[in-house]
Amino acid sequence: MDNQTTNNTMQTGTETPVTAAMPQVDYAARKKKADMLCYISLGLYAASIVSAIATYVYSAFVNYETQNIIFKILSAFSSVAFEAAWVLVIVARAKFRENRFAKILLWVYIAMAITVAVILIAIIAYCVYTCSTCYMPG
Amino acid sequence: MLYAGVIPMKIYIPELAWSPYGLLVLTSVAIGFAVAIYLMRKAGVTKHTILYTCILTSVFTVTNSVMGNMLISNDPRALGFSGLGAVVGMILGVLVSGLIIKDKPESVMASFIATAPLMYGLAKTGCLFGGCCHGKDYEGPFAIVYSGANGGSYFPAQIIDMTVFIAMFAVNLILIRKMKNKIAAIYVILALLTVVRFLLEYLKYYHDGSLIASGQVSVLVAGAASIVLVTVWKFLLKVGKAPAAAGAQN
Repeated sequence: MDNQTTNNTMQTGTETPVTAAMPQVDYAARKKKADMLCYISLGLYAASIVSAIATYVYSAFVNYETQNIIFKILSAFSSVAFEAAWVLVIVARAKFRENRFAKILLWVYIAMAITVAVILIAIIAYCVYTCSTCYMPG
Repeated sequence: MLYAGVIPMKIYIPELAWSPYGLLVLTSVAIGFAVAIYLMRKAGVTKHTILYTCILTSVFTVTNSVMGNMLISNDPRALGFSGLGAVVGMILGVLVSGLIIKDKPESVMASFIATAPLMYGLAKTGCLFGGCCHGKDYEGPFAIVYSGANGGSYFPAQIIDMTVFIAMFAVNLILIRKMKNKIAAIYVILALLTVVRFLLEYLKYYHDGSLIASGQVSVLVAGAASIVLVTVWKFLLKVGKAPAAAGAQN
């Protein structure tokens, strides 16, 4: 059984004869491309988080009003890297629908975004509750 | 609360224990996305396209809004949202998803652009209760009165913003339904939104009375940037012909 027939079997579950008219699909190459997109996406996602944390940590030590160009570069990089990470995972998902890594990575990103949103809402609700019930004795 | 009679009618906003601004803005965006999804479904856009477009548009809207706020406030620690940043982010998100997915991109873009004033108009309820973006000092009918440390009586700029932008949404729905060329409809909507937002800036407390204040320059820059982005996207995707013209060429 040649490689093309094997791929057809994997896709349909039944063995169909390969004719000359059928397009040649290189599944290994497609998987490699999709995985590469996902790895770059993961790298950019991690870089955006590191850059965002670095911006906050750095702002604690220096005067951001006099050195704000560094902050602008760091926060712009963080935003662009974050957006690029999402774009690449969507490209992988839309163009290589059979790829499981892209599917899992997209749902991991969505789960992380929901978790961060829930944590932020919980923190804000806690702060609002604490401020509304707090009183200064004496 | 409205008080009519001998006292001129005024709208009193009570001092709230917590600001509902964030909640109301997020609710407005969620309602806007729901309407955009409905419009896309009516235009025959597939569920996968809608899902990926909504994900990318949300990411770009939130990121650019937070980024815009940081740049405007010049403080990297200032966490907040910028309306102009959100609009540019939303357009960028739709543009990028159109370039990736290429499934009825002009219908997807038209749905989001038409819905943008609805999100903006509803989000103004957040400004109304939060006390921001208010009008100039004013004591006449329908003045908005805030109590507390930053209290005062102001021209009802937020209510006018809400009314005008929700009316704009209704006009946009008619435009995208009646105009066969969706890209032309998008240009008309963007131009209208820019002009309307520019004119409404004259009512704000921060307007310095000059012919074109700095806030209005930002509006013109954001409007021009949106039109340039749509033009570049149109050429990259080769969309924008009315169905009859496109059919004649084929």
